[in-house]
Amino acid sequence: MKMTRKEFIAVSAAYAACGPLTVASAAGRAAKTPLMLDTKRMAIHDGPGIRTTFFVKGCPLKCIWCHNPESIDVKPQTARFRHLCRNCAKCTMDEATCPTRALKFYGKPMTIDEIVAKALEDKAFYDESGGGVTLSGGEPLFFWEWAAELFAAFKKAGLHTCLDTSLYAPPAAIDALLPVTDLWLPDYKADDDALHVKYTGVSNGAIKKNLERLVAAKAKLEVRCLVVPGCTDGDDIVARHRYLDSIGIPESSIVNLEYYDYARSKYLALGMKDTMPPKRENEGG
Amino acid sequence: MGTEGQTDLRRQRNYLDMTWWDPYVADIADVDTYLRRKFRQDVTDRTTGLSQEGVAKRLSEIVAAGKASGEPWRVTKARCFAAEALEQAIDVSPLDWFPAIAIWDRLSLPIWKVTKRDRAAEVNARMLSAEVVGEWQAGNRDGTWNIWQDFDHSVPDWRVILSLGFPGMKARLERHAVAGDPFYEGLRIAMDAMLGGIERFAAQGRKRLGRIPRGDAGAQRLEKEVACLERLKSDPPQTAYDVMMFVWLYFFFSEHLDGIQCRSLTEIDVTLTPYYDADRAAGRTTEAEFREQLRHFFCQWGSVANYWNQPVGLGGTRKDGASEYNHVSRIVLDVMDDCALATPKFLAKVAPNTPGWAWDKMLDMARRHRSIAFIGEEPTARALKKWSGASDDDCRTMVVKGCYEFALRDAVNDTAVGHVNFLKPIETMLEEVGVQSSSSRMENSALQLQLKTPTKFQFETFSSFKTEYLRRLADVTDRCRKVAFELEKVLPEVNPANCMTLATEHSLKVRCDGFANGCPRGNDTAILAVGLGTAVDSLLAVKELVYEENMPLPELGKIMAANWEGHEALRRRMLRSKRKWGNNDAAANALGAELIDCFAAQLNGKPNSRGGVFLASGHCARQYIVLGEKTGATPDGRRRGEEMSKNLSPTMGVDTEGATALVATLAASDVTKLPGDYPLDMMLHPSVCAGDKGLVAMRSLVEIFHRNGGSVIQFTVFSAEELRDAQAHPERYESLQVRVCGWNVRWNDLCKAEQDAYIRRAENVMKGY
Repeated sequence: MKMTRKEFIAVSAAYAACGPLTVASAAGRAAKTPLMLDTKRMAIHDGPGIRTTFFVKGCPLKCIWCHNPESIDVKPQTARFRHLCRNCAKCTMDEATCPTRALKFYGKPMTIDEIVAKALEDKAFYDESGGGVTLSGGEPLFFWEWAAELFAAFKKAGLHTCLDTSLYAPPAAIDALLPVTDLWLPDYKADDDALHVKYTGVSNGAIKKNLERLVAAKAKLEVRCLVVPGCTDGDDIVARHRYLDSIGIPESSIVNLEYYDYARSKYLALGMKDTMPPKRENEGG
Repeated sequence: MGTEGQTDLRRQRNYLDMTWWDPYVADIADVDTYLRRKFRQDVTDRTTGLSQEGVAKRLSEIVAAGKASGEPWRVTKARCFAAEALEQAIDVSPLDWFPAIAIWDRLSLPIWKVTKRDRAAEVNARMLSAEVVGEWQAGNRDGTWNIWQDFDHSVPDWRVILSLGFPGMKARLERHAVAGDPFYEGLRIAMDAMLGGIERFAAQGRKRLGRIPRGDAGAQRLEKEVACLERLKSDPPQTAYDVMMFVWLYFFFSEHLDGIQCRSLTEIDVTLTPYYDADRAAGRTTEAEFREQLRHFFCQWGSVANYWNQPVGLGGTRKDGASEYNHVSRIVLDVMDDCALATPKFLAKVAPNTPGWAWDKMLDMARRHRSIAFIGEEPTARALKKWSGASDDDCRTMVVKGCYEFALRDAVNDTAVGHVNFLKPIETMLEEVGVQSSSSRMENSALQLQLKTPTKFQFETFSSFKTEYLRRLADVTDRCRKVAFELEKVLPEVNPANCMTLATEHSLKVRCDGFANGCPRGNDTAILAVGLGTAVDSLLAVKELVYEENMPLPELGKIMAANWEGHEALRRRMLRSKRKWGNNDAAANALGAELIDCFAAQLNGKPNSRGGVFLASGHCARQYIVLGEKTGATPDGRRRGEEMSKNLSPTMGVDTEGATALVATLAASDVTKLPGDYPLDMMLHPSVCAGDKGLVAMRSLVEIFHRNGGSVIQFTVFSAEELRDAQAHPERYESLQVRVCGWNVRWNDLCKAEQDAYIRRAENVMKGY
């Protein structure tokens, strides 16, 4: 996903008019095309088999533990990794020629055709392993109309689709993606709504409704419960499982994920406040 | 094992005369330590014969006497073999199921001094023309190629000689021998020496046995070992242990005494199964005893210092189409897994019929650094069939003969002689345009007169530049082939093979050396490609810089001559270009295919001087480092002297699209153009291989590579963090192995610079994910 400085400047200019996104504005922006953050080939933890995972840039949540802080803002961003930077007298200001790879550009435009073409490069591996493509982020449903169009293209190309999402989206987004999504990988970050608001910036009300909507539609699900020590562990993880059981999601479709605080250097590089809780040994899932 | 071993050792020290072991034995704590050090130091009973140094002196005397008498070299070589077998010190230890020999140090084998060094110098000076020697040495010196006289990559037809045993081989020799013919006279000397050598081991075992109380674990081993050696003097192998002992004897006779590599320990599970099943049915052994024998068997090669790892075949397909993987395969894999040895290494044949348990076990071993590579039966057989014309059944029973190489089982006396540097043509082209430009006002300068193409360098298009590159690559490959042709004419004059000839009936029939030209089929010569990936990257860099961005070609030549000095930003940009071999880039794939075509066209099927043909080969052993040191800067961003790409893999650090793109890159070429071998080294991050999903992912990579014609794929799995920790705390990582080329090495055996290079590789692995 590397860009030259020239490309990055052009992308940045195109997005210069965008103000910070808010939840309220999400629906209106949903039809827009996101910038892509990364493409991870041979992913084996984002659904069954070997997969290619595409990451969109832009998320309405502000999880304090977010391990991809570069995926929150929809706009292109530059990061300078201080531990790698040599403070060259004449900085190239270019990801492509930075001698220590300290400089990174985040956010690259890709058309649906380009994404599908990229995905098809590994079709033989999907077919062999029962894999496919996964859309992650950021929050793909922040751009749900685009995501539905992309998934339709994936399906047309014969690809198995997974959606990695917070489910923080309008019901219309769920309805649009249901016919073209083979496996949903929703997060359920906290059962206690006060905790959810405290740690993610949004209520879990819409998320729960969407989970129930998926269950009602008999969608194939693998719910992921991140266990963040000191935040969403203890009683809340028990409550999350209890709630998921109550709406008909079997234990076999729930995965507890261990928390790691490995993204601190990215917060620093992006000039963002590091909000990650500490990783405590022998705690977590 | 540890406690039992310590007890054994204490008993042995009490019962045996151990004075000759001091000071070595003082720090041997258990059986495992003994086995690990067995071929790292002399553990023999010095009262039984000569040390390795003593043998070396003895061989010098024999050679001098042979010269004085004017006897044929083959006879002299056989006398050397006999002296080694009959006069070296030996031992048969109760700690070990196999004998010990004084000629343990393979880095200075006495027979190599006699043959590869002294005799080769004499023969080459006498029989090779000055022109050939000049061409050979000039290319070796400047790094255009690396060519040597190779005595590696032979394997006897195990199936046949196991059915004959040593006495049967002797009887067969007598059937074919012609009285008074020195060819057969030498073989008789060697054959008798083999049998005499076995009797010496048996006698030493009996001597030891007489001094150990019956019932002791070591005594039980010794009793069975002596009985086995006695059987092998008079019969073919009867039991699974006999088979292991036979392989051990043949291997060390051939490699350490005869100076000819024996590049396989059989297709081990297939070979042992009928013997083991019969042993169990007759109550001759237990699974526990068989496992211990196997463990000791593998540990012999764990101790031998052959950096390339001793290959051993595994699995395959039976004639009825079923898989060869069975209960013995399970035991073999368990034992190898438990031993955690860098060598021997398994070359596991896999096919659609390979059972799931075998896949899971072997892939799991691979991700835990066990030495194992996966060969696709179908694609490898297809390449073999294309170039040998052999039947499907012949191809089904192909055998391992090298790091990645396979061959028909009765045709394995191949060599890997020449290594062609794919970067040299680019280097010389750019050197010449750079010089042409900077010396344009120096009419008739000495430098200009030396230029091979001292006229114009006006390649108007990339196509014309590429055409000239391909012309030079073809020229270099052709010249390499011609030098190899001449060098191989004299192989039997340098190092006539005793063991391999005795093992090959066709050799006896037609009176040809079993290694040089006596196999019924085979006798082939591989020429190896070095730096394919970096060459592709460099050509694409020329295209980008000169033909797309309009940098004058002489300017690029000057930058190369300056080793990128003053152009660091440009160098980094070229290094990070996406248009690299290994990223499944269409232009890179197409160019790679052209280079392979060009290389292959100069070699495949052309006759060599041994009755076989030349074969283009895709792996390069350590030459990517050796020739890299002799190669100037290249336009892909590589600095002068740095290593180039290894085997068919990408240049280190440039395959940023990950494992699937790498497999797709190799799948894009016609692999049958490289019938010598077609290997892929793949480094994976542990996260990609973890858990059941990791096994599925690894298997998918293997199967897709094979389905697209790839032959051998091997994994190296570790993270940069793990390696950094291993560098900082070597004591915690005694068993950590990393893959060098076709072989593993222990991490702690690498110097810091080499460890740093591996850490850089591991860091690069993450970029693709």
